Amino acid sequence: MKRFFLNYDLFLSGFITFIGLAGLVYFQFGMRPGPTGPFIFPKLSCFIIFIFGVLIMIDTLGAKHADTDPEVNILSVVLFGILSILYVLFFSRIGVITATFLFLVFSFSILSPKGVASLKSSIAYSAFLTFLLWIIFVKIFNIILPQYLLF
Amino acid sequence: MDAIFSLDFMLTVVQEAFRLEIIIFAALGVFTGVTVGAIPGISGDIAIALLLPFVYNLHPVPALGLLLGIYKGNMFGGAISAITFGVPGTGGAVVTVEDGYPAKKNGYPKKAMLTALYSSVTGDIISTVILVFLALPLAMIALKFGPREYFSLYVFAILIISFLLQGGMKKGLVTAAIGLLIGCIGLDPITGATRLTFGFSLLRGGMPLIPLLIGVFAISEVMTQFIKTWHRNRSISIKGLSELSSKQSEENSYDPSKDIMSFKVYLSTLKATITGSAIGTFIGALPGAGSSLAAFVSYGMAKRFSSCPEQFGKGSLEGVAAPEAGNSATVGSSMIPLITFGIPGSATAALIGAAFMLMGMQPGPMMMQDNMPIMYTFFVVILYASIMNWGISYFLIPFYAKIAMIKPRFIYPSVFILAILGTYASRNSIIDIWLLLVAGLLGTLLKKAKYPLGPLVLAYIIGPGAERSLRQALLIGRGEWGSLLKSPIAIGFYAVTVVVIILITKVSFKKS
Repeated sequence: MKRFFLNYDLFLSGFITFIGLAGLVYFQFGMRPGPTGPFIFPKLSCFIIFIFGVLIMIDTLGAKHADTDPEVNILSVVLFGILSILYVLFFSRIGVITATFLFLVFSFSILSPKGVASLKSSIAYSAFLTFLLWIIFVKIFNIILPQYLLF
Repeated sequence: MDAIFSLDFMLTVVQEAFRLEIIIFAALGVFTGVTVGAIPGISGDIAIALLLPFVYNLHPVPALGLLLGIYKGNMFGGAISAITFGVPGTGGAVVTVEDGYPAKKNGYPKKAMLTALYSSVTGDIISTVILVFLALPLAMIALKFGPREYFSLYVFAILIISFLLQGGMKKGLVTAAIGLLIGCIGLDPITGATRLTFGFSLLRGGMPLIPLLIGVFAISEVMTQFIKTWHRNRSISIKGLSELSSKQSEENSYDPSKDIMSFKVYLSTLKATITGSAIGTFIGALPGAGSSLAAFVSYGMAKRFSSCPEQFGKGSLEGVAAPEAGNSATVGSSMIPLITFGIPGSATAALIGAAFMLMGMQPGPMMMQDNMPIMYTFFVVILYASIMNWGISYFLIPFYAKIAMIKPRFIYPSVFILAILGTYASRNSIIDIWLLLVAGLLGTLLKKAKYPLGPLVLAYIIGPGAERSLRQALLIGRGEWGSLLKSPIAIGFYAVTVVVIILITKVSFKKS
């Protein structure tokens, strides 16, 4: 059980199999599709997901090494996800320009190599890029972006 | 049919194709394509996906000229960083590193770069000419296809795509099935029944195309690269950086007088260029095979037919010409199945197919018939875009070589913002941004376990067509699955699928 949650490949294939099975059960018993009805194709897709999900799980159980990208860990994906959610939330609360500037300053800073004093350059690049995006989207394409605070 | 051979029709097409607006858009596309191709980590797919929200307000010809320009320019752009730094800018340029980088270290970067450019343009022109001459006859054949034949063709395409892409057949089929399932979200086009909306009324119209494409292609890539850069930079100190830069400055002494490109040099690589062009054109027309495979096979074949195979891997110009001609030749031919049967030949062709759909043109045999002037104007534009690719790249190669040095920490957050704003701009909808993030997260999670994302997008695009064909075929056959085998053409496609799968499995088995 512990291995199931530690091995990402196994966990993902298990999850995919579950989705396939759940879809299959839903379309088989929850719906009443005729042989040519609207649920035949989703059912077929779920069947493929289920069958090949099981086969991948079997492969993963027999594999000596996990076939995953070690540089992408799930904690980082979650952190990036939170950062993205915060950006989109700020996007509609404090305005696109302010939110974009803050997001860029933060991203440029955390992506700079350790020990490189880059806050000034991060602020300068962020201000320049935000201005450029404002020109492109607002002035050239006439797109109305959410505006709340400052801009 | 006769109308297209009339002088009036041809003159109208040429006149339209050379309108200033269209020339500017095609040039802008080539410029953007070469630029993003030169930056490792940013692909033409990302650039095309990011531009989709903007192009559907344009007339189809300049819009498609822009996107095809990016596709073409990107194929050569990948060679710039491959030759200059040994880092391929695109997947198709991975093999170019084998000889391109040693050529640069041996003191002839200009020759290598221009060989790559000339062979790339040659391969591209050959495959575009083949597209122009094959599109209409194939579309006429496709018009004779019924639902059974179409369904067998879709099965062929999905299986071949899943088998050929990196990540293995099982993972490819799972992502293709996920794409098919996502394509089923919303109202059933035949009966109007609601499917997979889970009570969300916003999903009744289906999963919007732009958030899905940008999410899967751009956001997942940005998310992955962002995380990787973050981890790497946390472990690199200033000392490490200065050591790296001093190592980079230890370049060989360069003598420009020994690095002059000539027609004689081009002729010496012509055999490899033609080999690459032929292989690239053939592989590009197969659904899902892609530019990387074309470049690998072209390199292998050019080495086999070369009079000096021992030079390969040591800076051979033939070793640069073959993969570059091969990967660029996939551009035109990957459009053949898209335009004639509505089945994209590659992930990039799927994005171009999405652009056709956004502009109200459904890829498939009827597209040629219903939009004859637009399609032939488009063909003329993509032909001269190849020449533009040569001109623009030739002039800007020295500058482009420096583009690859842009630091990743500035690239990925910028692309992320562009993806968010571009998606928002397409419908002024915050919900689309949430869908974009969900699609991006799905792409990242699948990518971590090395599931190929190409089949997901391709299946999403061709899914509705495949479903329509299957249900129509079943209706004709009164619900009997056996009726799918009542057409000789369909049986032929199933047989070819089985044979191709056996061959691919045999080759992979041998490799392993």
